[in-house]
Amino acid sequence: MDTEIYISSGILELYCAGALSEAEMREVERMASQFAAVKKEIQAIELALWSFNEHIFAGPHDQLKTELIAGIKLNSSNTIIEKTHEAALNNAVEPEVNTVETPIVLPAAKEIIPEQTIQSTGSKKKKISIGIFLVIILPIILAFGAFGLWNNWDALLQELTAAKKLAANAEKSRAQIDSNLKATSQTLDTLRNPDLIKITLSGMKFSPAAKAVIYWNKNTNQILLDPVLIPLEDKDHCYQLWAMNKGETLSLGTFSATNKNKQMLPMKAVDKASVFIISLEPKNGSAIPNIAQLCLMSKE
Amino acid sequence: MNIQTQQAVSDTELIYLLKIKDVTALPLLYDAYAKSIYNLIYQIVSDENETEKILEFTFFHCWNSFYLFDANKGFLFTWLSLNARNTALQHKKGKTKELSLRPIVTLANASNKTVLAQLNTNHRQLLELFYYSGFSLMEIAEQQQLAYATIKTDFRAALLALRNLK
Repeated sequence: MDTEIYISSGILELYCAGALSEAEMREVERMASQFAAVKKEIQAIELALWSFNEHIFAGPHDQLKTELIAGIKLNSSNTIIEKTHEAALNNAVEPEVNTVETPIVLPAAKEIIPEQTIQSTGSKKKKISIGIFLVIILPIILAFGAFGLWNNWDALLQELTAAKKLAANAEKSRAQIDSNLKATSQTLDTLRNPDLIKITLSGMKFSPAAKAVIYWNKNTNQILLDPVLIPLEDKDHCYQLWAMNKGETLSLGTFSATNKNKQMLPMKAVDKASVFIISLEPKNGSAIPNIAQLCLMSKE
Repeated sequence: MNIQTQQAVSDTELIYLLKIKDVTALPLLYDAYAKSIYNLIYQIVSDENETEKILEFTFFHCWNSFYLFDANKGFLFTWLSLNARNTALQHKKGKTKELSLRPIVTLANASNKTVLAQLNTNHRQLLELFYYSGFSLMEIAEQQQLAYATIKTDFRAALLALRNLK
């Protein structure tokens, strides 16, 4: 092969400037590893671009070096990728059972008025006594009885209202359990898919205890995020999931850690990623991740 | 002559240290390339804070994804600068993308004006549009109503002119 013609075609300049496709770049690298002249030419172009950028501005301030290196050391990855999905079954969402069954006991009706037996006598005295009893005592007894009945009626009404409330709550809880059960069944169906890859994300220095799991369907590229243990964010921030691949960083969407039912979160699909990271970003997300607030990361 | 002759440490040594994740690689990598990469990013985003964040991320990404770098075939500065450029352009993305032959503000403000004056206007504009604004050569050809081959030739000439700057 005539390397002079290859070099003068301009493809090496396009390579250094990043103007070639992935396949073309690999081809140039293959040529460079084969022909010393090609490699030397690429190094000369690199020098030109490096030198141009090196001298055009003053560069970063002196402290940045220390800060940047310290930041990278703090955020060194220490996590694992597990390519099995079986363990994920253990993370299946448990339905929340919010209710405690309380037996509802309605009070038995009380006997309020004792049976009265009026005995007849032949004497007038007795007739007067009975008359007095009927006129004075009986109304008093009846009044007490009526008052007792009224009191009891009010209590019964209150208990009926409470019973209705309990029944409504029980119905609400049952609907919640149904909903959780449905979500759990869907999650289990998803997790049983053999195309699924489980990727564990572990906490970085910013939030060392944090844990999350990504389930990545390599067939459909769908991503499900299980925020197993992520600290709650404040109202001005949100979490953002990123996929990194060969120099490109793609946002897979933002989410909140206030996920009460611990449901899996569907994120944006991605076909290629070498590393997944989660960072804390201002509300509505950022264009690039802020590594000073890097929370979780998968091991590449 | 190549970049390595300008550096205290060779790319081969740096690549080895990065591959084995030896943290002593970090200050060496920084000394060798941070200034050039910083200036490259700054020309794209024109903001010091954003430039620092992107530089930080580029080095972080390099450290964590270095297993992707093919030590037998890859070129360290090219790999690093393309990563930085992609991140910076991605950051700039949502902002207005004006495809026009506008004055090259960032280059005109550069400290090394005498060197830059040696580039002709077409070359400077072409480099600006492609390298710092993120347009593909095909997009520039369409905008300027020129053949793609012509733009490609001009682009190579611009980079050659860069190489010859003193």
